[in-house]
Amino acid sequence: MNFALNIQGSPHTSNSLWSALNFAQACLSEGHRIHRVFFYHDAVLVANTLLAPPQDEMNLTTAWQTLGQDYNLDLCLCVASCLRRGILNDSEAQRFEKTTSNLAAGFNISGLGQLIEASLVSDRVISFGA
Amino acid sequence: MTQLLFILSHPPGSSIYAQEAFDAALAGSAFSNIAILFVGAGCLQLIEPKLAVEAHQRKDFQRGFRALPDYHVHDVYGCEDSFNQFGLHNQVLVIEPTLLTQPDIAALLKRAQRVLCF
Repeated sequence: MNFALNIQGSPHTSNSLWSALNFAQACLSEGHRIHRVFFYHDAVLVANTLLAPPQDEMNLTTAWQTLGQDYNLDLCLCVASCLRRGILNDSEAQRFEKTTSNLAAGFNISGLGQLIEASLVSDRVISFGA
Repeated sequence: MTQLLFILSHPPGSSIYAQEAFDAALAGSAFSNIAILFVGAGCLQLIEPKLAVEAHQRKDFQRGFRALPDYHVHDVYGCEDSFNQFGLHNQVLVIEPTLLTQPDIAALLKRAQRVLCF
């Protein structure tokens, strides 16, 4: 089966990204496909490369990057959610004249159309709420 | 045929989630035939927000509900149980959704090709 994931919860105040990660790992290990992982609302905060959690705690950013790389996943962030929360790639940082960008490697910033497209072409869309 | 059903469940004032969820629904309407269902505290989004908007200096995104027909969105529903729970029947609402009972909602979920929960 082909899945689309719609993840919304913050990495710090919600279990959403963690639940979605477990779901994605289970899906892929069972031979299913994931058309796209879409990060919306506060879930985009997971793609902040400046996050520096204590070493003895789960690093969700690294975990998603690893899964993305292992399975060549499209880890797509909503641009409006990102800009509101200060997640910027190089071109957005330049556009808004910020001193730095902070988008973690392996994630890409795009629009809501990506969520809609993924929802329409996948067999199932699974939302992990905020 | 409802291709995408957007279920909106966040209240309007306590976070940006309700506003962003409505943005997602509008994006959906550009690409497909959508329906919107307000459930739980999400029904509070339908209350005319004038005072709250002034008090909290937030964007009056609910004004956009009135423009839904312009986006060819005609199927806008509210959960009747939630309306009862939050006492919304006598409130001034931005728009009047079609109220659905639990069995109606079950049928709507079955009819929709995909469901997106916010």
